[in-house]
Amino acid sequence: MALRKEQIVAHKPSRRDATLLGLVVFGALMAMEIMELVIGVRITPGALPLLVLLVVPGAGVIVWFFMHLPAVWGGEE
Amino acid sequence: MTTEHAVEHGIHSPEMRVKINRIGLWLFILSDAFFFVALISSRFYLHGTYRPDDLNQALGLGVSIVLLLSSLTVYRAEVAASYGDRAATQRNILFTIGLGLLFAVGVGYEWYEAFSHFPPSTGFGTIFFTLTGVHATHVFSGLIVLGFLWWLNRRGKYSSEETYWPVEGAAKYWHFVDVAWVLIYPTLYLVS
Repeated sequence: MALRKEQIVAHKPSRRDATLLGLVVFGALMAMEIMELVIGVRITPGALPLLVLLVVPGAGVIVWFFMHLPAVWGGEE
Repeated sequence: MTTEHAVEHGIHSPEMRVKINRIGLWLFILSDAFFFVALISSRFYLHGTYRPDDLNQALGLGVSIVLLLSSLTVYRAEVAASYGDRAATQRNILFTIGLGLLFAVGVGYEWYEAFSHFPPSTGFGTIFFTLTGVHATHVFSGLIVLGFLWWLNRRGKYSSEETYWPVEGAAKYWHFVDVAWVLIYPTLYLVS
């Protein structure tokens, strides 16, 4: 069963949208990183659960939007 | 299944090759991720949430921002390549290499400081140097791949949206290096 071209480039939005998406994701990651630092430095005991709550979605955002995970099964982001 | 049958059903078609490449790369990334997960687990197993006071927090955040920025530039390189914009691809790959090198310099400086505060012979030092060292090897291999990609792209190898898979693959790998750091940074610098 041959794949249609649009399935291969399923993650491909318009160039402007793709650029905007990259900037939004980057901004979100920066915000998470700074929040992590504040939590890690200020909340010395018990920071672990809060850090996990920030780190896991942060890593997920990269995997989903930058690494185009949905494209593995031909889906949209 | 005969070759003719396979070709007829699109298994050897360029589209299917890209699909197979993607799955192959994801499997590689997944196996590599297990390695990082094991190393991160060892930090908690051996030292719980202990964190030395001598960690350079500003540097830790700085190198993290540099690596996140490199993820954005490599993403832009991929987008440019997918639209056949060779010049922008070239430029963004170069930015990524520059940021990757800057990250390596930052980690190098952190190592220089760490040797006097918690050398590899100490418990935390072992974890710190192993995690950052393994990650740095990934950064260097990514830089080699990106350098090679830059050189090939300069020769017009990935000038159309049909031939940009290598850019996509290298970008994926670089993002994985970033994801690994997103997990390593709080593990080493912030958990306490």
